[in-house]
Amino acid sequence: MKKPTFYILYIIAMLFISCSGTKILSVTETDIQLTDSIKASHFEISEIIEPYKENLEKSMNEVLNISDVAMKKPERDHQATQIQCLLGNFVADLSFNIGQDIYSPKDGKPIDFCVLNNGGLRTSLPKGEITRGKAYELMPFENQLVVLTLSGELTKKLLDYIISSKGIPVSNINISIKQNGTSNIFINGAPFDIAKSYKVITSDYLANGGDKMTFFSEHNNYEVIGIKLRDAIIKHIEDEKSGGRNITSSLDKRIIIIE
Amino acid sequence: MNRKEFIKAIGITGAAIVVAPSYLMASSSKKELIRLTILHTNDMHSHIDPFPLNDPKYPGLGGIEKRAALIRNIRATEENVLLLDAGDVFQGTPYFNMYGGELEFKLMSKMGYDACTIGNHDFDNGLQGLKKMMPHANFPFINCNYDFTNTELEGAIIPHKIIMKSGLKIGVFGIGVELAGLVEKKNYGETKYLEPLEIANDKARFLRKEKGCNLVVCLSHLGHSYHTKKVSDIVLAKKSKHIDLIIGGHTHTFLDKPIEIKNKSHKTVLVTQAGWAGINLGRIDYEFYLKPFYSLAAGVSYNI
Repeated sequence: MKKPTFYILYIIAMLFISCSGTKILSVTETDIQLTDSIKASHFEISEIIEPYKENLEKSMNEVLNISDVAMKKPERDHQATQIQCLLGNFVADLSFNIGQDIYSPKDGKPIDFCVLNNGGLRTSLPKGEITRGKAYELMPFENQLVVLTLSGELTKKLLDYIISSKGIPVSNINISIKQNGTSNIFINGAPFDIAKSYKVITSDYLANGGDKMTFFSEHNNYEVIGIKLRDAIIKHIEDEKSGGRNITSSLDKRIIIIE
Repeated sequence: MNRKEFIKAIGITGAAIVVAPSYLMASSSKKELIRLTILHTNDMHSHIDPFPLNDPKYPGLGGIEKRAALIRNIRATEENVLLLDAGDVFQGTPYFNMYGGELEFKLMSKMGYDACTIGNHDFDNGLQGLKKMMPHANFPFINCNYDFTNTELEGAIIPHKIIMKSGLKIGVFGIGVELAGLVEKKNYGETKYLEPLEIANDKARFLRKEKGCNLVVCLSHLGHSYHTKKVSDIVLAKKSKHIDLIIGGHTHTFLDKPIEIKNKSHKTVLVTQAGWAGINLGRIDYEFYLKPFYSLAAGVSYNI
């Protein structure tokens, strides 16, 4: 009996080494949502986090101001479902206003309008207390605000992009999109004129052609005005506070679809 | 018929067992079935703490301590656990702005991640910024469609990893999204993005055919699917031959369960993703039946 046993074990060993004949019998899948009801704690993990967290919290928990409204992060769907959102309007308006204040143009011409992207708005702002940490979450990137001077032709490409992507953050611009596909466009209160050049404030990320705004990289020349987008957000929130105002946002007629 | 009686029956009928593998499986030791539990995350975006309770979309959700505890509990009941991440560990909370990813990697190491691929945001502090954080990670970074030749990351990223679990051979490789237009040039420097489809298929074939992997897993940061023709996990799955599972990221896609896609050979590829920010922990349980154990059972019957 010993010989066959050895032989069989040998075969087993060989099969074990070349186990490409595996069969997957079944697959089950579950996504587990980490809800607050999971009260699990893990000391070794919390122990690592603690010193980092303490140091960070000191700086980040400072309440900068109160928001009158909740501003939700736009749905991350590749087909935009709304043409404006509170958060987009909030950030585009403050970028335009603060940019305008800081910008000192060599040619004396002010900024005409602002365009940003939804992908850059990384979290929602709650109604109520807004901390420094929230501003960091909203704009975690180190992007700079920059000003581009665009020809009428390039401005037209940008406007087409704004119209086709529906719902990206803009400021100081009014677009009425008609059913037949044409649009009425006002920039800085005046009808768009393709013979004129325009100054647009945006982030250096977009100015470098990010988020498929390739027409910006054709231009390839922008002025850095010297403030990061996140710092502009924090400045606006703090400025409102020192002016005795809460922060807020509303939907208006900057982009509308005419039925 | 109990096991002993069954074995006796086999002894009489000789080689007949070959045609009754499922019966044999049900009747003999549990060891023939190997369970493999794959746990996965993606787009963690530096979310160390749970979302605050006043968050409009995800109040109280996520948090690394909860995830770690959950993983610990799963490891206590499952023998074979793989823990993988599909990229964008970096960027999204002040933890990243302040510490550059150090804490994220330390915690992932503690949780026992087996591998991680590189997302576009993992380049946010430049190639140097990622390299500087790597000593805090005890797991490998895997990607096979970025060419890091002549960059700071040359030699620091491996194309694939083969992981053994109870005799199972699992091949894991990584695929990344196109960097141009998504990452500032200064942050990825001379890194070259290579078209993913051919490379992924070559790598999967290599892992299956040359390395004999029982399961081939693609850790992808391409994104789940697009309305355009842009390459995505779904596109890759359809055009693949040897990939069993694609664990995706980038599009922050929440799925109730993985999508089943038929590949070029009409075999099923599972495509999954676990949202983002550590809100979900993805879990897939495989049950494997290994032929060697089948032979082992036959061996036992011979001895009687």
